[in-house]
Amino acid sequence: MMKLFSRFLKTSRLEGANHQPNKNGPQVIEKNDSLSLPHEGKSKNIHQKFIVDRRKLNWFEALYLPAIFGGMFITLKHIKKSLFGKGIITMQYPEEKWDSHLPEWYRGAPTLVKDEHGRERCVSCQLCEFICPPRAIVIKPMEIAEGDPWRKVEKAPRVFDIDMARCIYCGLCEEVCPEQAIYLRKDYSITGLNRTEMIHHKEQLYEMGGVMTGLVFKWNEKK
Amino acid sequence: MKSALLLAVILGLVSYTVYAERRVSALIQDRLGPNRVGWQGLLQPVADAAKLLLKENFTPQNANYFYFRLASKLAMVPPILVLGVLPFGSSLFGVPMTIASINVGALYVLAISSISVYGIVLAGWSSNSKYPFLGGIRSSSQMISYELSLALSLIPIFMLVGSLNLSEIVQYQVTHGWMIAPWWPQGMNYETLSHPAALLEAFRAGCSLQRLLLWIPLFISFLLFFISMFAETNRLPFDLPEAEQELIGGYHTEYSSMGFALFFLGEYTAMIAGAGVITTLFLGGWSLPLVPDGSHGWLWGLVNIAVFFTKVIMILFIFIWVRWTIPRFRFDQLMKLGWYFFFELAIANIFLAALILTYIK
Repeated sequence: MMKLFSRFLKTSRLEGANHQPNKNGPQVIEKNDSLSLPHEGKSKNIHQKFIVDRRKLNWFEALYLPAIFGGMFITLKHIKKSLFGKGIITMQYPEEKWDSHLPEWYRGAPTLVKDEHGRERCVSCQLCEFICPPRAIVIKPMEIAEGDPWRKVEKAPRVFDIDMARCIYCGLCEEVCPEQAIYLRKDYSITGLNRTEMIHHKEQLYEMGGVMTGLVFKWNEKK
Repeated sequence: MKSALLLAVILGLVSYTVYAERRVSALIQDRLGPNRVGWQGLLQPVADAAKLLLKENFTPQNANYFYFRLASKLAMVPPILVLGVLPFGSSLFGVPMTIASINVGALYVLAISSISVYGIVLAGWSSNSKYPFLGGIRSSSQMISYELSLALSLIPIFMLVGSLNLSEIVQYQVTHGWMIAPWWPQGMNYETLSHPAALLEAFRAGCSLQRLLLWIPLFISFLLFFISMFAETNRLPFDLPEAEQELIGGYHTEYSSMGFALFFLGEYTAMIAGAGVITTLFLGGWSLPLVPDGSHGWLWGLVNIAVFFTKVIMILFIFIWVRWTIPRFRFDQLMKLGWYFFFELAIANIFLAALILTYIK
């Protein structure tokens, strides 16, 4: 494992630092020791020797002061830009928010959705509960009530709690859901006065999610 | 009475230096500093002081209690003592604007700034923990090495002026030009303002070859002193003792509440004291070219005080500006710079200044 890691370090150094190439080109050295892992082929065991080019400084550069003054001039330009131009990129939060132009891939709070027929999409397969890294989701499944056409093919959640104090907004639950039931919306400031208030229950989640169109309909009358 | 007033002014200036550092460094880094507490964040130091006072003040286990408590005071008191000798203005209503105009002013300044090494060393050692220890050791060796060039770089000035009294050095600069630009003629002051022809003649006479020659050792001396002052106050690029990336907090890691406040404010007070010494010795203290001193009226006395503080604030701005521009020195580079480069340059500068002075006189 350490061999792989050190090789990764060496190659990434090569890719970035190739602006001062060696005069003879990179020297390729075949590595063939017994410490390498058995599944590494010979073509992957090549380490390149890289010589760093250290030039001597001329007298003007060796003073260091001109370089310092150059740097101070750059920071002065930043000061001028921040004072008199559009240098500052900080958003002053309560007055300026970016709710209106959040990127479409922004991960806010997770919610459950219904499709356009009004069916609740979640079937309590508990995959999201399994994959959630901080274990914020708690699901207890139940049978669907009598008389409902979906009773013989699916389950439904009796309890579906997402603890927003634990949720890390990673989006893994959305990614893993096989039923297209859980989606992360754009709501980012979730607050509560105590930890109990911070748990979102099933009704709240369906209300926050709303209706999603364009989903896959798995079941028809024949099935 | 003067000292109480000065203390109040300096403590206010210290808190607002902290605020200024946060705002100016924010501008350099393309962001806003604290701007919520009060208009534009001007009450931020008040909020900081309240927070620091209300924190729990603990001593770590197995720490040497007496030295632990003493160290933070030792970091704060010497800079305030240094500020007692600096001339803030010429005179106001006949009262000279120095708390103590002693005849060995410059020597006193150098000696007192050596005491502040003790504060850091004691803090590092008595905290009984590895990061403060390393920070304390590094800082003490750094400060001692740069004290050499600090003192040696000032010798050309004393050779020129002939006195260590800070008020007299400022007076010399009023008549003979600021040390950083000594091509002042002797006749150019307030009395000659009414005779423009004499003014011009005096100016032309002042820019002679002799005065320009004198500029070389004085400018080198200014650079050496300025950079050594960075090292003395543990400011970047010499801030290894408190380098957050390497030492967590350096010598003040184990302190909280008042201890930390004293270290923190002590560092900024040392900066202000250093800036004050630099303006007094090199930038002409309270004087501007054609502005008279306090003997012509109390208004001019106030103007002189304002001029002094403006110069100090400008130098503080340069301190803050340099901090956010250059990376810090590695410790061996720092020591090499102090002992090889600066020490030899300071001694060579003394000989150079002596040669030029014999040639001029």
